[in-house]
Amino acid sequence: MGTAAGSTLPVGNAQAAEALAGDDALVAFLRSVELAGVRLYAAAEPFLTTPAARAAVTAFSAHHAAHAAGLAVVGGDTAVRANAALLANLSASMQTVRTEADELSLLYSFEEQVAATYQWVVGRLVAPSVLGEAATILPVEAEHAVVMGTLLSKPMDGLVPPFQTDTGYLNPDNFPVG
Amino acid sequence: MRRPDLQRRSGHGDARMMLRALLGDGRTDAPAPAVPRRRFLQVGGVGVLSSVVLVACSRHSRGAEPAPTSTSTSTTTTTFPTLRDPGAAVDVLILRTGSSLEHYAAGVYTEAAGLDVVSTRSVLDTMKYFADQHSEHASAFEGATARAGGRPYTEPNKVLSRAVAAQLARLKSEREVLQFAYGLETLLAATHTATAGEFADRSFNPVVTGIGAVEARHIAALGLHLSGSSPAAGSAWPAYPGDGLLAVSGAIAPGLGF
Repeated sequence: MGTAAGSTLPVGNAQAAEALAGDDALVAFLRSVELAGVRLYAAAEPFLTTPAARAAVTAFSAHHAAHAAGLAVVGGDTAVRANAALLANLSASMQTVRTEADELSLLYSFEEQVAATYQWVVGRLVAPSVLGEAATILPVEAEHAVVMGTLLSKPMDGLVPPFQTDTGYLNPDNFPVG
Repeated sequence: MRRPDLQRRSGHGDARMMLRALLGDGRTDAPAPAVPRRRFLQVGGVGVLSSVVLVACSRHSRGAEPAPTSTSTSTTTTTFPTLRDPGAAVDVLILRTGSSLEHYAAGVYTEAAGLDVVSTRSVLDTMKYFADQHSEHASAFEGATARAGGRPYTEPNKVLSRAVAAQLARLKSEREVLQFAYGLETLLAATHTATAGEFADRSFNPVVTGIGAVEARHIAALGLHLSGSSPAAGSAWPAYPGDGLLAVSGAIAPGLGF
């Protein structure tokens, strides 16, 4: 095993360190997305009129906070705030919300994007512990989408595709952790 | 990085109970309670399943070529492919287990849809839709197995299949059929999710998560039908886990049932 130029670390260790640093960056990004989700859900309250929607929003908001906290455990303790670029991107849509259906549509789209983002991230993570955490969150984001979509009376084939893909994922390059 | 405690997950319910239900109540010859492979490899194992996996690992650790190996009980035989790379051999074991579960699930839905107690058109349509998706998942696992250098597994999981006919015969209402399906999906979602991060070839991680997330969507759809969109605390069939995390504590360990 050789050594990296300018480093006393063996090459293999340097590569491993780089990979784990990549994991940390991805986890920080996911945390920022989850925290943005908490903000998004908090803004939904005024538009909710049915008990079913209220219950789902309350539960899912708590889930996103729990996901952010869980990711912090495996991905480093650096302070992360709600993703400002993502919230800025969502703000235009948030301002057009007038009804509960509008709000649920926005939240449905968000959940689908978050699920796709986790699927994209899973393909890039290295550390098993981080992968394990992301893997237990991804299915729940997918379930959120199904519940929101069902409240909107969306058809089954739209809510349950054959495979979870990363189509529409949130790219960290477009939504950097601020 | 700190390692999370995988056993803390509570999620939809105890998938170990789901496994017991799928194996049949009160069985004394059932395999040891399923555990995630990560923990399983740490603590060692008991029972048929454990010996199967540990045989594979001990061979790999000595650096010997893992020759085709069979470990049999009266009803279970597991065959490992001939692979020089120990990591690939484990990958293949995981992927073949996934295939066996998906074939089993597709068969269960197909058989259950034929029961007299299932009559609602939308329920029948949903069951056929899910059966087709499980078949697609099985094909995906088979393709991944081939890419890993293994021989694709194309049959239903033998251990789970042993009890299914009697179990389906006991279902007396459409609701009970959906509850059974919910348990099945919970087991599959837990198993696929638990294997993420276990592959030597990391390109297989998105394969299992991409399928596991769809099983979770099945859970949500079934849970909405059984418990509504705002399930009561302690509901046995919630559309989503109360704590927001999918349970993996009852996942089937690789190698069970083929």
